[in-house]
Amino acid sequence: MAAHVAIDGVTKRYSAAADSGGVFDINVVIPGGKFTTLLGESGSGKTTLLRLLAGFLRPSEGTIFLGDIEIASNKMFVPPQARDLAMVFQSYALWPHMTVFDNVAFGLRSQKTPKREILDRVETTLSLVGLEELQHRKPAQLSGGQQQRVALARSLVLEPGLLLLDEPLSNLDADLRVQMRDQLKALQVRTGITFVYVTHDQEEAFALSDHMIVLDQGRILQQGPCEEIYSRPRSNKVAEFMGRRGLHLDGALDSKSQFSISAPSGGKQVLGTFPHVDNRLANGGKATLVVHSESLRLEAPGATSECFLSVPGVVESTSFAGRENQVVVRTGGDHSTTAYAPIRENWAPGETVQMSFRPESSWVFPTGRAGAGASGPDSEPDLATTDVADSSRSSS
Amino acid sequence: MNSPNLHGSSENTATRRSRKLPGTQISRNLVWVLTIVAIGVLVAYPVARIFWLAVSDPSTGVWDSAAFQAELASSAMWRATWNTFIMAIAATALGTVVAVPMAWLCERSDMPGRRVITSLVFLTFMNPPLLLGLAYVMIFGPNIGLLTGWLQALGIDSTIYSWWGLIFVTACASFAIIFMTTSSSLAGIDGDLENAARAHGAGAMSLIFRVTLPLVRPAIASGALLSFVLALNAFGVQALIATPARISLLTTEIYSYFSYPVQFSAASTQAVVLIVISIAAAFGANLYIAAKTYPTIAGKGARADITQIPRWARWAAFLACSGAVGLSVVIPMSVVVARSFVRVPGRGFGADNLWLGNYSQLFKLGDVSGALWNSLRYGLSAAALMVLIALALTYFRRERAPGSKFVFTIAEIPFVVPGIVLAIGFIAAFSRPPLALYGTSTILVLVYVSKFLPIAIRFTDNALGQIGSELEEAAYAHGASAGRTFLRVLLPLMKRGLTTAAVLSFIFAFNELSASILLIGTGTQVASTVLLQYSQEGLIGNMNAFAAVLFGITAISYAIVIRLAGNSVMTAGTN
Repeated sequence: MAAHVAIDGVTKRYSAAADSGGVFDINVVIPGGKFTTLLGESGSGKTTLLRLLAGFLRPSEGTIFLGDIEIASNKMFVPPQARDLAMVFQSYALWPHMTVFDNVAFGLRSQKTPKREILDRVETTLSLVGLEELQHRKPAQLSGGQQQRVALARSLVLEPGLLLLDEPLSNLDADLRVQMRDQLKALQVRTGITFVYVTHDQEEAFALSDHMIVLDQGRILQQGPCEEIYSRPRSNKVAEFMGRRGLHLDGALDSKSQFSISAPSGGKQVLGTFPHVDNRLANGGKATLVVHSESLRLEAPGATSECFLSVPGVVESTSFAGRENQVVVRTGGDHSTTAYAPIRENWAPGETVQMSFRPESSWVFPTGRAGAGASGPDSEPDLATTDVADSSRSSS
Repeated sequence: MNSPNLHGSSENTATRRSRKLPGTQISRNLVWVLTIVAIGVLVAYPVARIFWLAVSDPSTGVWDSAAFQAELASSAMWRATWNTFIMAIAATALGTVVAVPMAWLCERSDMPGRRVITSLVFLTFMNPPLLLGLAYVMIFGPNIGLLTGWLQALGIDSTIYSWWGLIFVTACASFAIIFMTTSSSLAGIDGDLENAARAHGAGAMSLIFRVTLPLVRPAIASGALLSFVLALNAFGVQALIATPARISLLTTEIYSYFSYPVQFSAASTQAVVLIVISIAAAFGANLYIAAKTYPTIAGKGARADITQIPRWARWAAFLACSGAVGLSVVIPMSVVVARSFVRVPGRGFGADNLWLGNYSQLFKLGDVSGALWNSLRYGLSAAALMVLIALALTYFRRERAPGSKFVFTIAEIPFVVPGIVLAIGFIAAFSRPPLALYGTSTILVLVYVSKFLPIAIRFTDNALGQIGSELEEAAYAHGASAGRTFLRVLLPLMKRGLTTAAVLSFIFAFNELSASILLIGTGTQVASTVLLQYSQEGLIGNMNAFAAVLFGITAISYAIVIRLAGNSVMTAGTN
């Protein structure tokens, strides 16, 4: 049965030192039967969080529930083997001394499942991942992609309430990665198992998940459905993480949502009115405007098009980046912005350009720390809880 | 190549073996040829001569297999063979049963004192079997044994001069290597393999028996093989215990054939039987190891977790492990040292019965200082030669010099050849001109080099293996010659590892008995042969003092090794 996971005030400290890694005061509910991604850069605490769920680590504080069962807290600790879960490891961790069949049958044998049933279930699962032909091989005789599917079958055969996946696609080459990504998504939908998937690749996260938890320095920056995280990032950092590093402009917002920057000539230049403004700027204040690279258009200075705003700059460097040219543009001061232009457009270093974008594909956040980090727990939206309520209704 | 030639440099990185540097190339080739010759003379030739000696007339050197066939028909010979086999197998089995759980407890559990126990096991590995045999005769021997009376009070009418005594002391002398190979393999397991078992429902026992143990099987097998060979090599134990117990063994029989009149054919036939047993054991073990070794699958993996065991089990385990190192080194060596201060044996350790006379007398005996000096000289010369050859061999294998793999394999052979057998090979090979070395100090140094070269190779190889080849390539890419790269980059980085290899090679050569016993002549007596002689003559006080001195030198070498390499020496020598 697909289980939801409730993480309640969980902290894991590795040592007393301030920046020794770990996770801090994590409060989140991972919806049952959905595909949830833990997204973050290395050192963000995503793997720590996954290992806490698996039971390889014990929380320093807080409580974790799997379904309605308390699995880890100060008073209580259920070891990994007694938790209703399975895990796919980054290194696959296939036991090299066992055949494919024995690898997949391992968990069932641990549960003392009758022989007949083991045979049936292992074969069914192997055919689900398309490996029934290879069941007598040893892991070392398989390709990377096949090993990955054995690791997946070994976990799926247990029909666990929760499946943890630790960057399972990172050891595959690009083509196979995309192919396996589609298979993983399809398997999750078909089995209805709760998937918790760790990755640092935001593109992968968007392709796979229903729900996303963005972590940074051991704390949750934002969590919610994918579309929402992309279209309504709650902080500068999340916005930056969701897209390729784009335009950042420091300026000020007035109470009428008008964003202005200091003009080169001195004084203020009003840029325009923006629809996506962080709540914390309700009364205006120092603000940063963020636009993703993919939403920027490079134009010759003076070009105007309807519904577009533009910021002037000077081309610093250009480079060929496969399907497009990557152009670094310096705007006033120290800021440089990376934009992408079609290959046929040639921009030369030193040329003046303007970067144009639609106001609706940009966000305004408070400048500085408040905009970069997560805000207090009071302002967390209650999206996750609503989702759980929905899924428990539909599954019962 | 000192000129900054960009093109040349990049060529170096790509194919460093095809560098066109005539001068360097010639001297490199010369060193490699010398290495091959050294291995041929020190290993291949003497080992081949053992077989030839068995089937030829010792005085004329022509084919004559009559003596060989007569010896093979002797039932006494087959009894000795059977006894030897049973002794080595039983000691290895006992050692495995103790060493494997101990290795797991020290490497994988939160047992208290696991670091201390691990390093004491290494002391057991370095401590010569002769001292151990001697100490156990002191403890459980008839008449002089400290605890023999207790045994009789318990109704056990037996002394150390028995099968159990032989097997027990041999196991004490040889189990350390099983601990070492097993713990090194345990340390190398990808922690995620165990985590995966736990995440798929395996409990603690299931984890150990279905995942951990199967993965370390090859290491256990290779440790057991080495322990089997060490058991055959423990000549000190056999001479001190099996001979009085009237248990005939191939090794002690061979030794007795060398007392007047010397029976070369009988000795060499038994040597051939012994070497065949060793090689068959090595062959069997390697087949098993090859079948049970699985290529590790790529991935960064994780360090394995320390298993928390219940509090009572923790202390019970600690007591059991302390018992094992206690019995195999701490207690016997304490007895030897304590007894070396006793004036009259059998009168206890009262203040009036303690003195230093055993030591002052010791050095008045002519043999002792000469023998110690010899052991020291031979040990140091052998250690220097071994490290040089090992360095050349590991370096050329890394550079993939032609034939290096084969030469490397040949150099490893003495690991499974008992010392007394190797000595017969040396006698056969070096007793006639142009290489008439029998009775000289050179033959002793050479046999030590041959016998312990595999140990020097392992530690040197490990030291070299830890240096990424890109450090070497970087030197080439920046215009350094091969010689300069070796001297300025590799050698400084290997300093610690090489010193460890040298100290270990020294102490093993210093304490060597089983080959020395056949090769010493007048004036080339070594410490271990003199000590064996004293113990057979019953000079108890002097014997204990001398044994304490040898243990002292062993303990100092041990302290240096542990200081240099810590517990990582365990993993270095056994991979």
